[in-house]
Amino acid sequence: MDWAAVDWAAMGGAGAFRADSLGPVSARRGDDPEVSVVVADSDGAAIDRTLASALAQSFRSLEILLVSDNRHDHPRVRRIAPPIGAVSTGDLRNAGLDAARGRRILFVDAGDELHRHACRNLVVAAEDAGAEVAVGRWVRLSTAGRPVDPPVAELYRQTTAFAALDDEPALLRDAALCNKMFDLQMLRRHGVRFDDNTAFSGRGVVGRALALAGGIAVTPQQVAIRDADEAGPVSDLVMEHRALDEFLAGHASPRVQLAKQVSFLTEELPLALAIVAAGSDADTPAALASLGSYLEALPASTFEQLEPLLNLGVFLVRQGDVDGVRSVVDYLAHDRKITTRLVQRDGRVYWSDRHLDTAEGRRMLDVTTVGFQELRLSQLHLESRVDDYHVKGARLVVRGHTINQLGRLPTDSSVEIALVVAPGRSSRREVAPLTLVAHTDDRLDWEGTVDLSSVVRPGWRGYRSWTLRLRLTVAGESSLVPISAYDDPRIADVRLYSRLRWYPLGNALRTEVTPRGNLALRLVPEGALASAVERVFRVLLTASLARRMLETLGVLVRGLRRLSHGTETKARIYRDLLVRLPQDKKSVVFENHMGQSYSDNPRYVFEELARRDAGFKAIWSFAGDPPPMPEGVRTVPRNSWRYFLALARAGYWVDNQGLPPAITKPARTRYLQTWHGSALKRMGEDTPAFRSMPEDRQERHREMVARWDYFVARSEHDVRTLVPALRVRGEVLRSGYPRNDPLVQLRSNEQRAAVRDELGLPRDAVLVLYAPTFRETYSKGRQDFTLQVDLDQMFAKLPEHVLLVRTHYLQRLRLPAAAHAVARDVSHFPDITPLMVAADILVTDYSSVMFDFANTGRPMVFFAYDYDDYVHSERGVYFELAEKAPGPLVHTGEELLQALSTVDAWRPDYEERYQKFVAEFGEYDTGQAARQVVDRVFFGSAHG
Amino acid sequence: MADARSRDVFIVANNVEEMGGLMRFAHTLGRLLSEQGHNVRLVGIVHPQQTFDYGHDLPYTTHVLHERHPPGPVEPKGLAQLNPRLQAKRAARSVIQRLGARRLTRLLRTAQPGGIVIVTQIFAMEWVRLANTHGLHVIGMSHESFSASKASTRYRRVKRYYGDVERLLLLTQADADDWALDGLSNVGVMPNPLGLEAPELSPVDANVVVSLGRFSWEKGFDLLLDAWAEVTDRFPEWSLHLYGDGPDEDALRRRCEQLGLTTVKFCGRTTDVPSVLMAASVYALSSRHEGMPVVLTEALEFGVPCVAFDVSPGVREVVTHGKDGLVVAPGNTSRFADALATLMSNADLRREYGRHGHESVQRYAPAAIVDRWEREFRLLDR
Repeated sequence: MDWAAVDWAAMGGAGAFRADSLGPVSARRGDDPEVSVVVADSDGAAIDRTLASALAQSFRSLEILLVSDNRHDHPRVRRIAPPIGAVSTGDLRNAGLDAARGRRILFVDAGDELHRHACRNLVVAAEDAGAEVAVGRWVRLSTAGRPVDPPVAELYRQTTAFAALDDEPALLRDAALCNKMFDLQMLRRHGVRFDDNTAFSGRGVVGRALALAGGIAVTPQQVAIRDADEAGPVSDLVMEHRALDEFLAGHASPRVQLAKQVSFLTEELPLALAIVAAGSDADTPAALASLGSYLEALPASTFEQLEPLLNLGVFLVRQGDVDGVRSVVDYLAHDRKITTRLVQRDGRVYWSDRHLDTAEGRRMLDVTTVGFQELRLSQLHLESRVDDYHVKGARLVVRGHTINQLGRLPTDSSVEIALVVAPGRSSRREVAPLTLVAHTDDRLDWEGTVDLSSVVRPGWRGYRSWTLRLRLTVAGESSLVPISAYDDPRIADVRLYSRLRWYPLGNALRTEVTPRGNLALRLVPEGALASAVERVFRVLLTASLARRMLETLGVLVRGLRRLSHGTETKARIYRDLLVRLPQDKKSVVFENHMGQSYSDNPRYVFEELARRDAGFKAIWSFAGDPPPMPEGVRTVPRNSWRYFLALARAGYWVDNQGLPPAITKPARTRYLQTWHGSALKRMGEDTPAFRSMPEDRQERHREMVARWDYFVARSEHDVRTLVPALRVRGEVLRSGYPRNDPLVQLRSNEQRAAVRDELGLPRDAVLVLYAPTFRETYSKGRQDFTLQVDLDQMFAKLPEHVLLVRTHYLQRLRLPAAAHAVARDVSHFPDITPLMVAADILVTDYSSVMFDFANTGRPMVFFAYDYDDYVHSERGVYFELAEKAPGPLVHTGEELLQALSTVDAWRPDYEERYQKFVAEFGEYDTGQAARQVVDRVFFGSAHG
Repeated sequence: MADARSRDVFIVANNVEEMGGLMRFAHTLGRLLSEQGHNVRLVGIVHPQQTFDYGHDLPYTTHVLHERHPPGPVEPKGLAQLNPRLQAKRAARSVIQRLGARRLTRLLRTAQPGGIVIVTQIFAMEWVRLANTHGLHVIGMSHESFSASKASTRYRRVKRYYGDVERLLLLTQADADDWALDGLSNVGVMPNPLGLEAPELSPVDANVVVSLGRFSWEKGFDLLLDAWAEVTDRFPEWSLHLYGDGPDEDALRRRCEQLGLTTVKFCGRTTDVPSVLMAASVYALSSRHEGMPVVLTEALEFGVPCVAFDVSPGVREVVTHGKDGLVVAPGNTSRFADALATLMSNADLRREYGRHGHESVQRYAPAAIVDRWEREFRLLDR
């Protein structure tokens, strides 16, 4: 092709490649270029993009070596003829390596694209650090064309330099070639060359160069967009890694060798397994054998850090169990899909019923610790497939089955099944009920009819694809599972139905298999006329004028929607109009933590008020879907029109955090602020964050608080701290917290056992409730919370104990993959009070639950693994926990387990402190809080 | 350094006549580059409200593009986009901007190939991108931290207008990395040069804590007063001297009264920073927002240890906690007070910190910074 005539500016990339940087080459005459870029033409079609990106480099002292058969010349490209005969990518790269004249060298493959400033940034990184290898960040492009960081990008988050690979062996995880710039003399000096007999020669050179490098510089700047990883037969991968292992044995430390093994197992093994699983049945045994023999030769220590499912995969490879390997790949690569049939034996759960005849097999297949048996129905992916179907007119009759893993759908329970059809990226759903035909411990067979014409509707949004999922509901819990179809030719790409009504988008409904292997429906045009109409329609839609019109329309629609839905509008109408409506003196609006759930003080005030049966009407506000509420209670969505209307007319407001600031309180309404916890951390005006706010925002906060007519306190500590910190102006009710009444009242063993039953917790285990608090850092948003306790150790030391973990609602709990049956996530329980009634021991750090739990008199342990950080570098505290804690203060997981196992020994030592603690922080929690509050607020008796 | 090729250098800023830190930077850089033999021209987009006399006989020339301030940016949102009057205003501004850009082009065309255009502020970049910079290298600069940009409209404009320049220079490596991770792949680092030189170190034995700056919300002097309130009772002989002025002065004086402070002195503005530092023992920086605080480098140059809130990577790049100063969690005035007390009670510690700080900031010495600039220029030619 004639490159000189190509319009470089029009060529691809993320807008980073510009023709106007093709200035005259300013390389000094006669001097060698500083950088050589070797482009190996292994794929003719994609080479243009790659070459364009090399030519567009802002760094101009470079030579571009194109190793290709193609004869056409470009003034700035040196063409190198590849050696004669069947050549591999390794041969092409070696030819470039040999011909290069630069001081540094970079290798790109066809399909890769260098960022415009890649060479400049890598040269600067190398020079600043005096390094022989410079590495930058690479990305892939998503299907929408956006750059996406691969997992290895976490290595490239800041500018750093390492003296050698030994200082950061994790760099080996990244096998990509095009994001690395090498000192050419270093490569030549050590005789580093690309293997010519495998498809993974890049991997080999990367490993060798990193190991030999005197200095490695890392920059987070994006230097390349990669199309695809190196790919080839598994036997090639094994061969390359054997060669690399041999090399590293002679040139690298044991630490680096181990890191390379681990990186192979975590990065490349899953890929290798996927290749094996997807391969044709003819190649698979050989591939498995070669992979298996390689894995066997690895030292045992490399497998120690591996996740259990990967270890299982390794074992299955060595056994040559193709189906087993496929099922592991499904789990790891396809959204935790369980396509194997788990079996339960002797109280243990095994991946399959094969290989259980040997002790090693039983050990490897034992997945009890992964906790499948503990997963909720919605978390367990039950493999479902279509067995048979036919179409009659517009009706699809379908029959299929779902694997009943571990008997999670008991035969004696009633299961509801339905087919849920939803257009891509919308929350609208169409549900078609199915009938259960057979239900055994192993599987459920179902069938049903779906009316395609009513279920599948493009609508004005123009939906063209619909996902198909099965909804299984048993005992109030439900689960949505996709339907697998990935190696099922009967259903993979079949025309179901055709209908003229769906013009111009298409006229035929076909099935398709998504990249994850699930069944979906797609609307396509079929036939010459329909295709033509669809093409014209698409062109019209994307034409600039149409796009401009659509944008304008979008602006209009969004503006109108904001007018009608926006909270500001509602607030304004509330203030101007709604508060003038007549008041309903007996209506009470309740809200808990901004509509989060039905729990905490407002709940218990409500229950007491309901018990009085005095004609008060309760309205509860919820931010999401409301839970089932007792009869006669209205629920309103928070920030909806009904919410504002209810507040405007209410006689009383009851909440525990703060109703939206835009809502001004009419004088006729009484606002009871129950608050939600005593304070260890500084609050309100005592916090640095408040002080950092501009004056007008501070005023707004104060106005919010001024609305409160009543404020509930549990102790004089609250009165000393919360009242001035929040600038409370209303009447302080010294009644204790209504939510703690059950803690004081329900103390007998029978009552507690009943609560355990209700919650589904084991009656005879020792329940340890772990409720850590939220750690603020400078970054906002939800945090991941990792458990600092070694669950294996806990299981060994305290087999009778169950750890109930409840995180703050702003945190996401990640229990380690091998989560024990010994730990359970109870963060989703709406109300913590019953959990505290049920628990035998409380473990917390700085959370205000410590004040509540003290009412039970049961032991508490303080797990403050970051005590110094928390107390000193964040908000600051009102008192020293170490001085007043009514239980041991521990700093590590081991110390915690030690404390939990010796409770009876240390309990008497803390008795005095405990009494003092209750007296100081819970003096008014006498179990009569709800009664006192309701008496005072709703019946006006002078109390509290 | 070898290869001191003389170039045409244009330093473009919002204005080049005000007294603010950025303008001083432009003049300092202009002077330093002129001393290297380059032909430097300072270009301001507009005239400021209050001008400052930078002196005559400057080795560089100054130019201004607009005699009258052009209208502000017009960016209607939502339904307002359909308002024809706003669209007309937007068009009018565009025309005026292009006229200014044309004046800039005429100036740029007088340069030899290989010349450099340094754009110090994103506002100015809107003009530079409309001008013809063919044959010249354009370097952008952002003088605030990534997080400060992110929290303002400047974030969008930096991505849009600085995305295509050849190099974007940030004050600290951490900020450069933040922008790199956010998608800009043309970033580099260039700290500000020290504007002062200390002939000798401050004795740090006077019972004085100083802080200099504009009395506005960003500079956080109210937080400093809160911290001082916690520490003044323990050190009755010490006083806090505040140099500067600004819109919040009255509010700050009232706060002093409310807190019952008697040892705080409002000293007005000063142009003699060296004298102030020589008479000080501790420098306090209580800002809520900073880029790379030049005043900290100046304090350390004079051997005055610093106490500062950790509000941007720039603070930690200049002050090494525990070696030449104390860096405290932002807004935590109690900890700030503790840090002040630590230094106020220990003269030996102050001298040790001061010595370390002076050594440490030599990397910002003008000679070192000029070398870095020359390397940037050469890099663009390679």
